[in-house]
Amino acid sequence: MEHSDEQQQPNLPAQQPGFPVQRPTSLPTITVAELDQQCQDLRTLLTATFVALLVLALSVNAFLYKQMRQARAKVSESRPAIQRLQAQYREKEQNMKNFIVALQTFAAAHRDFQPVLDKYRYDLPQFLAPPAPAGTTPPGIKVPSMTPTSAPTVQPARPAGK
Amino acid sequence: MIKSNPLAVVLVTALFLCALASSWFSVWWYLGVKDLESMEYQARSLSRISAAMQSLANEAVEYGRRNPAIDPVLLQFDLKPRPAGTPTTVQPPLKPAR
Repeated sequence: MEHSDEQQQPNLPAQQPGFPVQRPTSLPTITVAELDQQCQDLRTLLTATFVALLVLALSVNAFLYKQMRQARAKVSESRPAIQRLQAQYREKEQNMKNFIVALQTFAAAHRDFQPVLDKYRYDLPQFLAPPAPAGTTPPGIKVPSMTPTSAPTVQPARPAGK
Repeated sequence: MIKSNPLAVVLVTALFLCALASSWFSVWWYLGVKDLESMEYQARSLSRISAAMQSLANEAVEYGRRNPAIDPVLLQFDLKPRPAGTPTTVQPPLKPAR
């Protein structure tokens, strides 16, 4: 090849100044049939990849669908119980408030009872918090905040006696 | 490509639809789990309040054994059995756990 190129070089216009130098290609000669075969192989590979991806996607879909159904079923199942709990809480809320107010009044006169109330400031912040300015208490069910109030001693309450 | 490789087009379309379905299922799953967590948090809060209130009532009853001055409060909320012949109030019961 180099020999023949050298022989043809004097006749090529690329050898003239100002023209780009023509370089010989090092690729082996490929027939059209081979190219067609390679193209067919690539196409088959692509199709196989698509099929594998599709199987994977269907599996993921099945998993997600099952999880979604489970979550929605649990929500539907739990909602009535939560609503019942809320209704029961609403019924008892005023009585609990009255009880706490009575205990606070009692503790004001009997200081030795104050530590008992202080123990529950963390667990009952909406009942035992220091008196807030008027109009700051939101109506409805009060969900206790996770931040402790200004209780000097924060101790967890004992579980209900059994 | 549509004419030269229709199978690939069909597969790509199926993949696209699967991706859409996955997104849909994922969003609904996420919303369901979020709802569930919110409800569990509410239930835990209410249970914690009830348990704390019950425990406080028990401690008040216990305190009443040492200091009978708290008896009017306990009687008012039916936390202590009334002596015979005492008129009852209309307060709803808040009984200590047994």
